[in-house]
Amino acid sequence: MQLELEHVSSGYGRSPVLHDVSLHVGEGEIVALIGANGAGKSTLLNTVMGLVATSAGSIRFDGRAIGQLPTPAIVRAGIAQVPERRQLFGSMSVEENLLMGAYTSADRHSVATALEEQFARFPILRERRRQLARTLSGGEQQMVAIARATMSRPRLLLLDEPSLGLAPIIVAQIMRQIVALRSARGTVLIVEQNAHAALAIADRGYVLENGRIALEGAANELLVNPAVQEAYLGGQGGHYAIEGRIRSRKLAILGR
Amino acid sequence: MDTTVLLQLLLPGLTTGCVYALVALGFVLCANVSGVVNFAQGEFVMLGGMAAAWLIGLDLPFVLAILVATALGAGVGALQEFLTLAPVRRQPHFIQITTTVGFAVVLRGITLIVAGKDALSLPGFSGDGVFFVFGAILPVQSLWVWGATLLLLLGTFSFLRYTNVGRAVRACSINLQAARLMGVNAERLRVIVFAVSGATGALAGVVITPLVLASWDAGLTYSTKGFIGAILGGFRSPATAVLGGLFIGLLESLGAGYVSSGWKDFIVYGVLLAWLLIQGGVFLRGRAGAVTGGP
Amino acid sequence: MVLLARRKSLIAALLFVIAVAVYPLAFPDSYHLGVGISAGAMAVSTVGVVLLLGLAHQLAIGQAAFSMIGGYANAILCVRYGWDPFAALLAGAVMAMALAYVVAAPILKLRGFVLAMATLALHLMLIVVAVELSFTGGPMGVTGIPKFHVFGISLADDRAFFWFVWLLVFGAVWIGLNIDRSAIGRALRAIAASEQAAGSVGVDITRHKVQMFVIGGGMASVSGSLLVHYLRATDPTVFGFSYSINLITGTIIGGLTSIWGGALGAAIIIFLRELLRDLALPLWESVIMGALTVIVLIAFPRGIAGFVSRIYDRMANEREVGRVVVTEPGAVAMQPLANPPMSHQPFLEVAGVSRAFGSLRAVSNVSFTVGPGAITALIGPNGAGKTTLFNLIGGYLTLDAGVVRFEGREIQALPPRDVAQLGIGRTFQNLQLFDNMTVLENVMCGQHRFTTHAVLPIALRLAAQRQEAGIRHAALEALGFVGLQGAEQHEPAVLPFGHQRLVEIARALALRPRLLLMDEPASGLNDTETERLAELIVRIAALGVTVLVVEHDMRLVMGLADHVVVMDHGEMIAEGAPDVVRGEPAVIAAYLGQEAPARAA
Repeated sequence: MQLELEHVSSGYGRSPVLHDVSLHVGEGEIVALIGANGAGKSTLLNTVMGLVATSAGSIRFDGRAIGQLPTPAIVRAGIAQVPERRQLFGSMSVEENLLMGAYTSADRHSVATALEEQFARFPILRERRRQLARTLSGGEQQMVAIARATMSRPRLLLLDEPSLGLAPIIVAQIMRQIVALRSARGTVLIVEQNAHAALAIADRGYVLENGRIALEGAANELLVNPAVQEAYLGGQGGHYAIEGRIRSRKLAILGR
Repeated sequence: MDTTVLLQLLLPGLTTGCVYALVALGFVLCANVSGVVNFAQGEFVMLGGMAAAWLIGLDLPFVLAILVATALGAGVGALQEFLTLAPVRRQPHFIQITTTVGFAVVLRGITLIVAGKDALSLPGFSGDGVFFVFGAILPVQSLWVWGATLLLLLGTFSFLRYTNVGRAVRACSINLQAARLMGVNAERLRVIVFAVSGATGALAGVVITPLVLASWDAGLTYSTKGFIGAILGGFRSPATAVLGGLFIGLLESLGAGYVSSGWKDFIVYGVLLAWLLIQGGVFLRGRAGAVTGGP
Repeated sequence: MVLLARRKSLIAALLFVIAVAVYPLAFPDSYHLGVGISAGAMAVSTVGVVLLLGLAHQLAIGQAAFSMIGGYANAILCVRYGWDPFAALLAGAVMAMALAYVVAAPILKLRGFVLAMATLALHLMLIVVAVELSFTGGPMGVTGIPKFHVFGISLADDRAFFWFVWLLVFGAVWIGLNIDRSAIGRALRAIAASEQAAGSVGVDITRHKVQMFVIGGGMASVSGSLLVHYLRATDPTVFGFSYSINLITGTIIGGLTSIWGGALGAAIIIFLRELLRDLALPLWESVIMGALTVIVLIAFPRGIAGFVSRIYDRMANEREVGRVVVTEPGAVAMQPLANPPMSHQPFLEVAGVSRAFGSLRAVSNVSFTVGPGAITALIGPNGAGKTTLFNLIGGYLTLDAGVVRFEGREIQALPPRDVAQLGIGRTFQNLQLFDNMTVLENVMCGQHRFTTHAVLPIALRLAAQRQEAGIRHAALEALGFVGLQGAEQHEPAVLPFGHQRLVEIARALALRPRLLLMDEPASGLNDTETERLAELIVRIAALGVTVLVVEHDMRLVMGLADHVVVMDHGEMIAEGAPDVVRGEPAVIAAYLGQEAPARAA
């Protein structure tokens, strides 16, 4: 296993978000982590990156415990993240953004090669290399974010909602790029609310609901599993019974 | 207006403006990476001048004294961030700023004890001669000040623009979390920036000392004037902060020439107050920051 | 804790009176009396610094400016115009306060450190004036200032003057304590903890900061007046930069958050200074003052007063508070709304609202209405624009286009505090409790819109007492209603997360809202807590309060809401009854993604 989370709980200061989450990502896999917003998906990625402290459980990368490492050490270990909403350095040029992605690499030559690779993969970015990142369109910005994260040649790439705020056609383009990344370099953990888009390219998937893993399985099975829709929009059975009880209390007190 | 008289005011104003500009630059750089307004900024200038003069008084070779003074500025800057600011990083903002005020007072005090109450002087780097620009008389040392400032500005801006670490400094001030995700160690970067601005300030103090004397209590003036320059420049962009600092130097010199040297500070501070009152009254009537969405 | 604070204050007052009474008898010589007088003069202004720095978090780096005004006003009025010193003292205070108001009112809207710089600039300008004008005596200053007397009653005896000065210190402390324990004190601590939450209960941030700045200026002025009558002369160096630094250092050592601490700090600083002079180490003054500032801030941010207070607490075991048992929501009844909204009028109306951030259209042309008394849920996938819309309604953001009407009144241009004043309460997604206050005080902050905010009656204790009792009662009721009876004296941070959410709801209820905005109230709650929250929301609705909630937990949304509004990409894509909305293809596609592009991949 390349990435392994065992019984991880974490959160922001006083607000617990993840409860007892276990998941793993194998070498060369694309794994999708889906769920409605507020389920804790971004928190999970930020926990892996060391930006959010774990309160319990362990995180291992290539067999090595990384749960207590600071973020720079985790980046050096070979994990990179494409953050939610891209988080580009808006007043820096596209090229400078990409160079920031190679911050941990000391070898000038390999940085130049990596830059060329990114421009080959995203030709539009070569044209825009001198432009300020904030002047780009949403889709182009997402390309910069992905290119920036892969500049360091990470062995594991974490993507946080790459579809966010993008038109469906652009989403499809980005997803194709992510598939191409796998053939190039390896492992991808993609967090998405857009279940269809993510599961369509993934090998396996996890469904996160209220900070817990609610479902897991092969991507093509999850795609047709009705329980996935319930995890987003609620339903009748199991722990959804709360909904019915709330309704009856409301009827009893308010009469409607 | 007589050009010679005007030049005779503007060019020395430019010289002191150079020092204010470097202090303003330090203010903005430190604030950008650490979020703290470092009120000890001007003390680095004082420290550089005093250290160089004091060391030369001990018969240290000229160049060595300058190097030691600059290194001292860098060391003290790094020490300030590491010893006094890192521990209060999670405290409210005003506590962090107050800490820098306290640190400034300590620097003044130590200098007073070590070097004494009297102002110290340095000879001009290439003699105490003068030169003429369209009839205006200037000490040769002015050329050293201008040259050193130009070099320091070029150095700082190339550092920010073309080096890996400099880019990271800018990245941190744009988006700290994203910079961390790139593997940037923000804590170490802060120490580096404080060291750089300490060294810059100290070197500015060394080159200006032959013109204005160095004294243990001079730092406050450099701090306030550099700070005012930074505020006039918007307190965000290093380049406009430099312009703001130069402007203050020119304003002060013109005030001294056309009004009186006693009132020049009044004019500079008055301009700041007026600017703030106008800004607070007319512009920037923003709302309290919006609540941002969470995870 | 309030009672505890009272008792501590009583002990402090007793020690204070004893010390002030005994000191002149124990040290009757004029040197020691003089030291005591200087300390007293300084203590008057450190009380102001506690209000400014400790409460309002405004770095008062140029307080010497106001002391200088007081000092020179006394020097000039008494020497040149033969005024009575006490009248001159009052005149100086009025001048300083007027100047403080003129400077602070516009500048306090800017970023925090700017005011610090502005006061420093003001101080340095005044020094230039004092040096340059012959009217102020130039660099030599003014000499021949008479000894103090109050309308003919002479205080020429040093001992009498000592007592008079410390009587004024006591007065300043009394004013400080009155403010500290009033609605204004709570408001300032609320601002320090979270400006957003302070706005949500109707706190006018700038106004209270200006109030403290003006009072602090007045106190600094009185302090300067007293000092020059002791020195019998003044010149520009008396009120130099180190004067301000000593004030700040003294306050920090004594205790930033304690009014008594400020007075204590002043005494410590002056005696320390004298000690250094006795030891022939006057040069060390600056180093020691600066180092003390830094060390105390790093190691004991609450100073000596905070330290002593903690030891007292531990010895008296006062902070032992029991476990909180949460009772059912509504266990303590709350009065329903006296004038519930009419059912035939639109209650909250959002019409054509848009807001863009750069090229991102976060909310575009959204229109819906919230019926009176209804529970309405606003849902949508991440990035749909729900929180932005919430912030537009609450006044935290300005909108680009559109209208928000609340009971027929346009509110889109109002800042959060005015929205709150109209009776719109809110809770936050990422809890925004005031950690520097007890649970009860947190909830009391919710009553802010029903209190007097005029500083004079509060400072002189003319209005506060009756008002406070009512506020406390209402807050206890709200706490009981959410089921948190018994948690009053806890600090919020020690409560379990679910309870903290309830505190926030109680605070919003203490506002007696007509409309309650709740931003993801169930996030971070377990199933039991979520069900209890639902019950609480229903009971809130039963009071006649209209509820608009943004929430992700669909069990809560679908079980609770009368009406659901769904957003995606900044637009409203559906609205209606829960079961209708849940089945709409557009809603399912918004949440789970469209199938077509995924297949295309």
